[in-house]
Amino acid sequence: MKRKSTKKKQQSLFPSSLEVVEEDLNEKALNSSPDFTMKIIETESGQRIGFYFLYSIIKPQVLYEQIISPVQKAKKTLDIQSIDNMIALPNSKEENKLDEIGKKLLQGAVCIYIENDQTCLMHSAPLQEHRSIDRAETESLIFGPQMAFTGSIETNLNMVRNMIDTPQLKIERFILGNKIPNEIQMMYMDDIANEENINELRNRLTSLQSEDIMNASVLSQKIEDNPYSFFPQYIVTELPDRFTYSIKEGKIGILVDNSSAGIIAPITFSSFFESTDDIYGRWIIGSFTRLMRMFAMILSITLTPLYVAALTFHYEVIPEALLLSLGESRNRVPFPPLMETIILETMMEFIREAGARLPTKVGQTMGIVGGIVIGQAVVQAGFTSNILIILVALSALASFTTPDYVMGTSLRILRFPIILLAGTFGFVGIFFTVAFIIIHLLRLRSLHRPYTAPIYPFRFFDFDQSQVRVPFVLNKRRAASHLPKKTKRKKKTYGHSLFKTKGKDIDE
Amino acid sequence: MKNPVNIPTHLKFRASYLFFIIFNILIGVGIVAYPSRVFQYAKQDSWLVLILVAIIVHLILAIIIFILRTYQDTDLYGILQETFGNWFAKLICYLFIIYFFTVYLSALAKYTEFIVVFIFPQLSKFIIGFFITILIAYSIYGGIRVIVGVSFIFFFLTFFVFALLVVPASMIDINNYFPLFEVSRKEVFEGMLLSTYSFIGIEVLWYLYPYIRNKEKTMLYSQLGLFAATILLLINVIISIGFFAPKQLESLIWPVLGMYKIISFSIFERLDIFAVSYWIFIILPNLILYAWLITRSLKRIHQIKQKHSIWAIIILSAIGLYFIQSSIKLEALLDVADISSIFFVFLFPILLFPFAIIKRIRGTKK
Amino acid sequence: MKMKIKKFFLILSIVVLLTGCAEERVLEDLGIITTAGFDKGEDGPEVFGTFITYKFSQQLSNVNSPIHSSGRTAQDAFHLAFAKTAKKLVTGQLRAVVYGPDLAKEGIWPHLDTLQRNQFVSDLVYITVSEMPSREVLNAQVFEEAPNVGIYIYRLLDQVIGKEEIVDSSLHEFIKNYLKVGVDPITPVLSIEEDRVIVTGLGLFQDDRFIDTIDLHEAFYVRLILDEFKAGELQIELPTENYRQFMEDFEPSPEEETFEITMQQIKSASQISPKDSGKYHFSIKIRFEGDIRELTKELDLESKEVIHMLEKDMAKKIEENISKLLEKTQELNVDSLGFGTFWNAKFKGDKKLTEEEWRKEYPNFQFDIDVTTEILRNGITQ
Repeated sequence: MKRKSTKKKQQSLFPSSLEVVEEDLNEKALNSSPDFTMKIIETESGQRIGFYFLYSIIKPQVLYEQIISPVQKAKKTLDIQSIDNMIALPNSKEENKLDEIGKKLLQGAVCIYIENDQTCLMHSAPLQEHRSIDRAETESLIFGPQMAFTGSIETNLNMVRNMIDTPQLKIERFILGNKIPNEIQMMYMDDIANEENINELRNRLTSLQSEDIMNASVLSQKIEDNPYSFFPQYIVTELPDRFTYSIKEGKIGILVDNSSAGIIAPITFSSFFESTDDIYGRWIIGSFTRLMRMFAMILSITLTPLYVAALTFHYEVIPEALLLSLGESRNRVPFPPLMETIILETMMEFIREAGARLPTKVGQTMGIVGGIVIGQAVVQAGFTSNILIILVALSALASFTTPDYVMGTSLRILRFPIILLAGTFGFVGIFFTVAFIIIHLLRLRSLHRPYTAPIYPFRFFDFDQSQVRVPFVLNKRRAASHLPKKTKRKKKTYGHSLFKTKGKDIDE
Repeated sequence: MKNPVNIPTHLKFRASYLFFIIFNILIGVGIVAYPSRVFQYAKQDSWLVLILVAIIVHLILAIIIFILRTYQDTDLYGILQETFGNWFAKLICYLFIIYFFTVYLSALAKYTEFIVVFIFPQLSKFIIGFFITILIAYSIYGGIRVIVGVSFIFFFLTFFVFALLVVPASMIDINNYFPLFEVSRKEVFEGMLLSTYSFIGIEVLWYLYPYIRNKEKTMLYSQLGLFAATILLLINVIISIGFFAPKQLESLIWPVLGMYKIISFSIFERLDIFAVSYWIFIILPNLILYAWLITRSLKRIHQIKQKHSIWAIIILSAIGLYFIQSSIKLEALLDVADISSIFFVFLFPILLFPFAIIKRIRGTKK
Repeated sequence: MKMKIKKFFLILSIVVLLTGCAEERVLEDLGIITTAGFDKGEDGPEVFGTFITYKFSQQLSNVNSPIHSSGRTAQDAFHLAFAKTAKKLVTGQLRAVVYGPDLAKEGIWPHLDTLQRNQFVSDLVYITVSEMPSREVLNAQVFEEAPNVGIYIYRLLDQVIGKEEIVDSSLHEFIKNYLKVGVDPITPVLSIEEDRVIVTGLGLFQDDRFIDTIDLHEAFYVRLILDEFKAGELQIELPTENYRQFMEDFEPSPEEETFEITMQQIKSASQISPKDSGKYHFSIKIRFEGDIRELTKELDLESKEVIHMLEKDMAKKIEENISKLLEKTQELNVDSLGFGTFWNAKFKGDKKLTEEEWRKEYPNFQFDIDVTTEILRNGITQ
């Protein structure tokens, strides 16, 4: 009902005088914005032309040089069409509806109106302040291109386009958010990505009922399969090279405006332990680091629980060589091992969180104070045993090897329930939780695709790109876990005869 | 066909996973006690008994698959309905459910017994059992995909526990195996009867068959799974015979866990404690599959949602565990499972076999 | 679905909180026994126990203060010790058990059985016998860098067994040999010398009764027959007479009738095969090879003749020593080498030895010993 009444009013907007238009726009469409401005120009032929805009989101240079000055210089009588021809900017549109004009103005458009005309002309000259292309802050690389996505979707798309410059890169555009709309772009390789995945993701995006989309991380959590899970089900990355690599492998990427990260879907558990560095480096380094990260992950969630379980229940398993030093350092500690470990692990989390929240320079001091001073004092005061300090530090270190920060944090927090169960049921508790985690991982899906692939469902030929990395010569197929349309890569041709590595025999 | 089972394609799995399912359901708690149980009858020729039983089980497995193939795309309930009618099919399936539950409960009770004996003598079995049932319910909620996944992943996790038996294997006494073929036929037969309990599990196919995507490979992979389980049992039996003195082996209740007692590494001693806790990975797929069988057959007979019947299993197993706290009652339960398994696993397929043959003959005549 | 997961976590946490936890055995609250010694008590059936525990304090770690207690059985003695220490005594880290000679001569099975039944005791515990009462052995004040004398004994036995000087004598081995028909257990014998614990030889058992000791020289031959050597060492006396012509100093002092030869890096393999010829007959074949490490007389080792003679003479000497050892065991009627099991593994039915027959017949067993030796290298000097 309300809408109808505003529509009636709209029709009475034009034709009218410039001042009336100004008042109507500001009161009804823009909710009295202080930065709403009107600029009136009188041409030689006596026409009064009004320019309406919000000066905070308009590029002044464009406004004056491209829009106002051509109109000012005009000699003959003008109409909407001739003004449009004068202005050399793309994306012009004629509008006569009040709320449409208001919406455009808020996106950085200029409204040009000739007094007493039937419609007005909209030209956009938006000013978007973004940080320039910068180094990635949360994911850092050794070999890769040292740049990260910025807040502007145009710049991000520009980067992606430059990296994948084929027409096969298909981009679909959505405007999401009922209250505050935001632009979202879904992109994939038309000839590789799986149709079902694309449809599924498109459905999820279009059926998403949300007031607003803050950024990529928020969006990724809103379209997850299991929102209650400990584990992230999409990778949110700020590295354009990782983003484009995944797209090239047949996955789907999502860019969100005003967000300096892209979403990759669908993914598997093991892809959280992969970094593009593994691809840039030699295959043996890549394979080694990937296996090492997996090992570090297992270590980081089981090391301190094993300590708690062994010291609380299973003194039998402690080797003779370790028993005395463990006993001696434990002898001064007043708490049971469970308490001791939880205190120290919490302390470790304090240091990490404080380091993350403080400015960089202070953060470094934080590490020194936390790590060295407190660590030293804690042992000397008989608060914890020094072996536990080593174990906690080691498992914290191991958890930081996970390239994905969100996954790393999830795993670190996962340690607490395991410690708790280790402190109540010993090894039985640890293995119970590990079994629970495995079952949970098996249940998880990313875009309806199994999370634990390629281990289960087992695909032997996918291991060359997930758990290890084989030399490119051997890597002839795309990972089949997400059912890409084409699995075979293009056959490699070796141009010059010198590059022929294999003959019938040596030196032939 | 009277009652075909239509399983949506995305729920079907490749036949190769049957290898892991069959292997896991055969290797459970039974393997821990098996070497000493069979040794009481067959002495150093236990391995021979095992091989003889394995051959019979291979045949029975072939019969089961033959029957399932004859009736196509249906499970035990559908087959019985077609051959004997509604009423009788329900009766047999109920008996099967009771049997499944007995096996399930005895396995659960036995694992809790391990923990109580080896690690926490004062802990109530009830709590451990409760924890395990939570895991079972959680994986059954994930559906067949998760159940197969658990079997698959836990297979690899359990592999290295058995690999640790290399240490006791290096300490065996060759003299213990000789002289060969000393036992009498009667003892061999008694040993074979006793070995049946180690081979229960192949009946999982009765309900799993409709879920297989490429059914023509069923025979290959399930036989391979059975073969792998037999090899593992055989290895355990052989190492146990060589490792223990004959009298010692007879007196031990769980010789396989006993062998872990002598494994010790420089950073981790007393692997028996580790092994007992780790056995959860061996026992879980087993229990999950049996619990799934119960819920699945209930669903087939009465359309009871699996979501609901799993809670019934949890409550019933809690009550069951409460009543079998002592090991004497547990032994009684195991005996029931033993005796009933001879009927349900071994005799039942043979009884059904003629009907399948008749159906085949009729089918070809048409 | 969502509610179910919540419910699940709720139930889980409630269970954990309500049940509390399993019984705790926190490391520093435990009196962890490393070695236990058992002796015959003063009056009647009493068992006198000595227990060595860990002390988790650097100031106290060099003082040896065993806990003593007595009871009707070994388990009883252990149980009654709870009132003599502020810590909870546990046996999960037990490394060695020492039985005093009085107790061992009466039979140690009743005391071993409790160890076997206790699931917390490792099967790798060393079973040993002492020459003097075990409380004296465990009272030794010198134990090098080890935290206590119990660990010292454990490391000592580990080292000696690792060097292939004596056979393994874990709880598992002892029980296995005790329960098997046709073999008797062997254990190391401990003694005390200048306030430190030493290994003096091997104790021969008849069933579970300690009978006699053989010294470390003889112990070598026990290993030679039972096990393979991978890197052993042996010293043998040979008569000087035969080698006079090869000796480089032509005027040997006449009083030295023999000289010593030491072999090292010995590799050996043995084969025992019973033969049925109306009697209990065994052939023992031993292959033996190693390097010469030491000769007390200079010999011309470059000549093949000398090497051949040495090989032959050594073989003869080893055969002699083995038959001496076997005669000794036959006199004592202890089949420590397990010839009975070899017999029983070959023959079935009536020919099989029962326990009584084996005990009765063992002194009449006949052995053919055949040793072949080979000298691989002469060491690094000519």
